Amino acid sequence: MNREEIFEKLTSIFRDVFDDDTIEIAEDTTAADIEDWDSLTHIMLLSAVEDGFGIRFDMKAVQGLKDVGAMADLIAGQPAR
Amino acid sequence: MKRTYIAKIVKIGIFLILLYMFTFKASYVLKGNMGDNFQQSAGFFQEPKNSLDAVFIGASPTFTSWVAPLAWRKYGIAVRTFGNNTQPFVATKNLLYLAKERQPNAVYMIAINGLYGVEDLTVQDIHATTDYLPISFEKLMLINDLCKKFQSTFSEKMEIFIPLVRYHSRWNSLNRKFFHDEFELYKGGFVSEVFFNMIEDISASYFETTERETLPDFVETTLTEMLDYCKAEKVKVVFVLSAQYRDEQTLKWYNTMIDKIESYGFPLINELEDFDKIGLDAKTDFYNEWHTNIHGALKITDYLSKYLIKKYNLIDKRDNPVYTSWDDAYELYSEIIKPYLRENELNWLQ
Amino acid sequence: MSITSFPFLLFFAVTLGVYYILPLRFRWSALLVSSLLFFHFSAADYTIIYAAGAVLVTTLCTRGITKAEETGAGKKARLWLILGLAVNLGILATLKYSGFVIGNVNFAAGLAGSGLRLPQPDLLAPLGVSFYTMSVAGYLLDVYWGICPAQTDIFKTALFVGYWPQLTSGPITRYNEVRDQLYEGHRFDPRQVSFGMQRMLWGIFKKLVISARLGVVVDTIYADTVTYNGFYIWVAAVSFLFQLYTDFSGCMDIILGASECYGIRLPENFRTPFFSRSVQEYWQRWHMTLGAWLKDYILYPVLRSGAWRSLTRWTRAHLGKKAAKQVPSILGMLCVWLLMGLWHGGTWGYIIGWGLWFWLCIASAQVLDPVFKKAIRLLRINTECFSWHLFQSLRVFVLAAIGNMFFRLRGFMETLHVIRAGLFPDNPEIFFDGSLFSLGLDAPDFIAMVVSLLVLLAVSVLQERGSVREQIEKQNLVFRWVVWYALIFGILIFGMYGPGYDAADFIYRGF
Repeated sequence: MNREEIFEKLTSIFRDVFDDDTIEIAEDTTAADIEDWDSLTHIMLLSAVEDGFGIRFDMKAVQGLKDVGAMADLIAGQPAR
Repeated sequence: MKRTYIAKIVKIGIFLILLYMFTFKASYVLKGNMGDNFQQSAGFFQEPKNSLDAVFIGASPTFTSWVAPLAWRKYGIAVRTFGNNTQPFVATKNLLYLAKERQPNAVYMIAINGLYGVEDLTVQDIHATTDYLPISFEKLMLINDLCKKFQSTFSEKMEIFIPLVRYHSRWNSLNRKFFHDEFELYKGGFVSEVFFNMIEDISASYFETTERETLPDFVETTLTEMLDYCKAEKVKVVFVLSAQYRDEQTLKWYNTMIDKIESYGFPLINELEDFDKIGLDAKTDFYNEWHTNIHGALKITDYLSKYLIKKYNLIDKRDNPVYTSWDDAYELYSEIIKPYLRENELNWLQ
Repeated sequence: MSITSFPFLLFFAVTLGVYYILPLRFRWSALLVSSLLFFHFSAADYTIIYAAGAVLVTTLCTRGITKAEETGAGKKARLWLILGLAVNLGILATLKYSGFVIGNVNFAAGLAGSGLRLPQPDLLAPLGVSFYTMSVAGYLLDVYWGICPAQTDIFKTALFVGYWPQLTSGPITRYNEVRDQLYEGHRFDPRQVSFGMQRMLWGIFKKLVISARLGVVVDTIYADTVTYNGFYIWVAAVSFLFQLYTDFSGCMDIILGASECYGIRLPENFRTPFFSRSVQEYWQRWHMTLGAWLKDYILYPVLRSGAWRSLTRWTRAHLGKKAAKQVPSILGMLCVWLLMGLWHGGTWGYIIGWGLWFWLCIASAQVLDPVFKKAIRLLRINTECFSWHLFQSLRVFVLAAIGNMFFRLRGFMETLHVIRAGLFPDNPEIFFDGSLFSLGLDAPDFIAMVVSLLVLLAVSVLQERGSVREQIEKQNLVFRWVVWYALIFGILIFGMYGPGYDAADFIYRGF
């Protein structure tokens, strides 16, 4: 998968989790930019991303995620299951 | 670089000095005016230097047996009491040193009765003795001595050295009195309903003994130091044993102390021995076993005044304009005690 | 050794002096020695055996995990992790909760008609065991997950576990947050030391002037809720929340200020929590290190576990998508909150009173969120203005005040009883007829308490703009000094410490 495809899929996952079809994400989008993105929805989002891409993040990665760009990096670096 | 370093240290120094000054002032204000302790301690230091004929040092039996304003009126002698409630004998020595600095030429009457037992002294007693003494090396030594002898805990020591620790909570009852130094009005003349009104028949507690007993260590050392000091400085001193009815052991200690004083050749007035000479009546002149009431006090004042005048050739200063505060004290005090005086005592008020 | 006592200040001054006199590379060992001394002065000496055991086991296990992971033996690493967690959490559980467990066993046995009555243990817990155990557990997990490297030196591990500022009430630190600060000696920086001391002053002010006074009012009311019913209960609930806040955050200020003087910045535990807009936000601003710990080490692993994923799938299948978003997280939070309650105190009052209450607040807020949003739209409420923020803050405060009644009154049934006594108050006159001045504080003291709370409010508002100490630093010398003198004398004169003056003590005693 290339970066664009990752972002496309991420966008649909974000829209589904936050129940908002107008959400747009970019490399530097963080929790501050999306209204309902708090620590609880964060973990649901991560689970949804893992299920969507068929991957598993490890705890170290989970704690270190700063923005969507970092998330995309992590996805790109994962071996597909 | 070095300049800013020095500037910083100077700034910190000034900050700390100001802090100390403010704390001292706050402590002083909050100690406030506390009745007899203020009167007997701070009052003494309000007297101009070298103005007193005699100073009578001792605890409460002292100021309940000496009526300064009336002695002034009758004989023209300026004699003040100095010392507080529950003052331990140990403190008498330090008070003597402190007083001598202000009144070097006065005659010193030193009461030898006082608290002895370690168990008896509380931190409030140490407060009473030391709170109103002005800051001096002597005061610090006194506090140190008292705390050591009576085994004060760390926090008790803290609150004596820094009275603010105990008194700070008085802020919520501050009134004008706290901020204005009251001038001690009665020259140590004691004002108290109990002292004026109460009569207790103590004749049943009479006890007599000729035995002696070894003094507690610190009493022994205090007495010796005082006697040596008086000898070296050639102090005009007369020791006084106040008229009190006490238990056997204390009387034995008194006998031992009298022996020692006499061995130094100093004069001593034993009010118990001279009980009848003074004219005291155990049924009517006391308000409890350790203190005379106003009636007993007047008799003792008369007796001691005559003694002082004869022995030390004290001059009648009633016309001396420097001593007008004593006239004022008499005016105020006599008004207060008038209703309590007996028929035969009214001649004091002429 | 109370951290607002004179001996503590002496201890701190001495250890600070020694720290900066020693050469840089020995400074961390001075901290270790200071921590041992602090432990000695604050707790029974023999209890150090628990802490020492924790340090030993943790060092061994982290070394084991690291070695196992290097050689790819995942299972072995797991075993080391479980050993470390079991020993540390086991010690904590035994020391703190064995009484609770045995009490419940006895109760159940009683119900079942058995005569079994286990004896209640009488175990003395070491200083800070609840806090350092959490730090250690987090450390073990972090090493296992590769988030931080293990500390191989046992003495350095001891310093991480037993660093004295943390021993009284936390904060719960992560190894990553302190490993660059604890062991390198710090150069003497006068600005940093003076900032640290300023912070300590503020903390002492909060504890001695504000918290102690509030405590008097709270104790008086709760001691007799029959006389003090109705609105008095409200006064007590509000006062207690302020008391808890000023006491705990004051403690944190003293601790963090002291640590700052050594050059070590520990994580914050409070961030003006009463300005929060929701109970969830409140718990991200109150006792922050505990909340963060529970989130990272309990909530996340639980929500990402296989069991939870199956639960989510089942919920989606049977209750729909919307429910699937809410149910697992709410249940996950339930676990966290029951644990929160358990950690604070091993009694049912804490667990199902305090813990469950806050869970209910957060869960219902989440579930009712669409309802609230609709109401806001219908009523045309402006959510971007001060009045709305004020409403939210007050709402949070009230909910927290009620929840913390369980914290203060401890017994579950007892707290319900008291809440009922305050439920339909019929005595509003107490606010006007001076009754508030007979709760153990006379009028001047009560007013002093209110004034100091206003000072706290002012400082909190200033804190929203950034570091207050930096704001003061920018002002001119006279102003700065006036502020510090005001603070110092505020403590010396208005602080509730020392033997207290009682006129009765000084009445003529006549000897």
